[in-house]
Amino acid sequence: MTTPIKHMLIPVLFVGFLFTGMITTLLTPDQAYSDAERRRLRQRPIPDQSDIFDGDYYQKLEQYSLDQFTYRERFRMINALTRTRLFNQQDINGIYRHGDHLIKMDYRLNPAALRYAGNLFSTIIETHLEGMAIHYGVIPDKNHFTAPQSHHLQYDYPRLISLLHANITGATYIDVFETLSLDDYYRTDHHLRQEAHVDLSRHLFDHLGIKAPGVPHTVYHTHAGFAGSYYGQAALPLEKDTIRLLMNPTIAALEAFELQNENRLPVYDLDGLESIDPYNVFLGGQMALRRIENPTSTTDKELIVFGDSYMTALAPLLAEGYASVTLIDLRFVSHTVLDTYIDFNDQDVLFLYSTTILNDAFMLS
Amino acid sequence: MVFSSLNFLYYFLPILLIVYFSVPSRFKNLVLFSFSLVFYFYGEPVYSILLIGSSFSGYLHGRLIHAFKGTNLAKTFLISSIVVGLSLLGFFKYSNFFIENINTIFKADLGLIGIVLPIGISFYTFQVLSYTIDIYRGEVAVQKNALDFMMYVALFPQLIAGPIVRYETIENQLRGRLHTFSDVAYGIRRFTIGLAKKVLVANTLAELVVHFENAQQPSVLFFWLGGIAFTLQIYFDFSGYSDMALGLGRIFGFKFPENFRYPYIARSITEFWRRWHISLGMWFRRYVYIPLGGNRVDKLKLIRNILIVWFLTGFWHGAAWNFIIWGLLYGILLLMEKLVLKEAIERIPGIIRHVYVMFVVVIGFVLFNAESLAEGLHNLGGMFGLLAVPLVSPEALYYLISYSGIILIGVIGSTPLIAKIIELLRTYPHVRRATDMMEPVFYILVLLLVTGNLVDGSFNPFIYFRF
Repeated sequence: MTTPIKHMLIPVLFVGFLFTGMITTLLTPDQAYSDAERRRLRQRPIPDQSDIFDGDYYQKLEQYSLDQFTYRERFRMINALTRTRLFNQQDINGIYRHGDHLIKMDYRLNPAALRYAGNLFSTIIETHLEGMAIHYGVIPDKNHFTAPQSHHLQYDYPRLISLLHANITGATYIDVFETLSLDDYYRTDHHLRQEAHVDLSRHLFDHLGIKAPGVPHTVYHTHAGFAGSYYGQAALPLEKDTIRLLMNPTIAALEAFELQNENRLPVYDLDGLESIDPYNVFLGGQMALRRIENPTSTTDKELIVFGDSYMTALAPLLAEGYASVTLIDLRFVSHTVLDTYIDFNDQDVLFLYSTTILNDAFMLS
Repeated sequence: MVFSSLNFLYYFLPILLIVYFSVPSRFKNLVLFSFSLVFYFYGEPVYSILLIGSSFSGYLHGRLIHAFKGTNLAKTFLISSIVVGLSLLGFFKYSNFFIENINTIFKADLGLIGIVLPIGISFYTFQVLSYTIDIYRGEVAVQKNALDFMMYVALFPQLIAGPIVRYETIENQLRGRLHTFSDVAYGIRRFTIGLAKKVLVANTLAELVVHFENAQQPSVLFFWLGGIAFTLQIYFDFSGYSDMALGLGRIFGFKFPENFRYPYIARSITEFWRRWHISLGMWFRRYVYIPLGGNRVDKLKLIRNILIVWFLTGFWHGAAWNFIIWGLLYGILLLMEKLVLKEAIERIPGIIRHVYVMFVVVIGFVLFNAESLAEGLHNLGGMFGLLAVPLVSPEALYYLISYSGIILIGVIGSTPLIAKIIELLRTYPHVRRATDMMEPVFYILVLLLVTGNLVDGSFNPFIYFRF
């Protein structure tokens, strides 16, 4: 190639590339939300005089362009690969790949939040649960299992647990760390697969003094293409997950209710699989207060679980061993109003939280 | 608007290129001026008036100084021009600094002024001043066309972060310029390389700096890592911006002066400042140092002159004491090299001189990057083991490993090593042919990587926008 040809080719390719990007973006209809990132994408801002003159309009326009740029997901993947392969970065925005799993590298321990959680649980025990059989457990994040091998940073787990121990009074600790392994979690999400909850529920039954029901489970429904919450954040090329829903005659007979409005809930809401967060399939997603009743139960014992999103997939399995299971999510309801909806009366009680929520416990009330 | 944004790359620039190269020569300045105003208005809507007012004031003062040349009125209009320029700069940039210091010294309770610093004011004020001073000195011809002059001040490639282009440099190019494929190709090359330096290298290093600032386990290693990362970041950020400015200028037929010449290979502080932000150094030399007498004065006056220039250099960078101390630190080191070390420094092995320069530069940028003098001193204390922190923490070690790739790229990229290797290889005809074939593809590849980074919404502010 002669120099004059090169000098012509460079501008032609450069301008051609930019123009193609512009035209393709303009011709592509705006997307409402990103499945991979599970968030609504910004729409074209409407010009407003004050926004134009204080600069807000242009900032919104920038954000809009970032969200609606042509082949956005592919460009994000290019960026993720550049960082991990070319720059050899060990994580991207705190997410890293370990085998087939995407892991979030949470490692900054928040002692104040853990003390707050412990004190909150103690207050709830004193206020509502006096004299009841109370247990608590912590579900580790995936990073617990992988960081020692992959040399990423992780929480100081002994300290995390000891901070809780030091601030919770009147409850017995159930260690679930050894019961779980990396493969019990979705590859692209932080949640546990429901299949893995079977062993976890057996472990909890042992500590709660409940005879584990022996009715086997079958896979009732399979949903392929589950892009977990880390999938979009990492933007790395990875196969999506599959959600499998477990069923047996006991689960089929379960009846679920939302307590504040007394609405009936599906145990498995298949419409939820098509929502932004397919994990909403379990009991309709995030809610403050729910109860699952087990009409086939041979016991009249009841269980109250204080927990986060992890408990929704676990709850149907726990309900197999109880007459009812009440789920309380303190992210959405304050413990001060619980008496309005729940009759605390000698139930078994379990506080079961993930490390992620405990380390950010100021969201609990 | 910033160069490293999707809206600039994929809307503003291609539309401007098409319009600019479609219109006849006599409309090209009008097109550039209009697009420059849009460019500035997009990022700083209200202060666009200030930019227009400032440049028109420069134009008017130039005309008046020229009209009354040789009389006392010319001097009066020069002073008026300087007062107007420095008053605006002083008000918008330094008011709160003075109020805070008055409050501290006199235990007063004056309220701070609720204004934000107009983007690029430090740069365009200095350009306007250079013009009126040069008119007064008779070193440039007066610009009678208001549009051409205002286009010079507002010209978007160099408007908000330099290089500080003296009017004399592009006086002829304002009237008419030659556009060649060779120049456009060169401009695209510079622009793309600058874009990669900014988006791929500086922005990634900026993340490391943020990790350091949010460290949960501070350690001596982490303090050094933060300092070195910022030193590399600011070079790739600012020199990347200058490359983009020079490249864009060349595309539109302007030849702006170089602003960086591999400053991190310098072997003395004197040499470092001949390679770092060259246009600012030249400005202070021409309009402050030489008028004060330069170095053709006695030793005491020389010390005074150098300290004044470096005090102003620090103060120009920011209205805070850490910037002033940073400037004075360099002033003192330059004095030492000039008056004490003299030729002795030449006898020290090059590698040791290089280590000395980089040591000073890193220390300087730790002060520079701090929110306050106290924070700067705290960070320096951390680097030298004066804080109760361990030598190494797992967090520091992790981020050192995680960012070692980009640090290595940064270290190598801040030297002329790659350029020299390419130059050497291109002496072989077949390598030359291969690189000629690959070069256009390489720029497209860079654009792909940059777009990926931008689309992902990564960290993206230009450091020098705040000056």
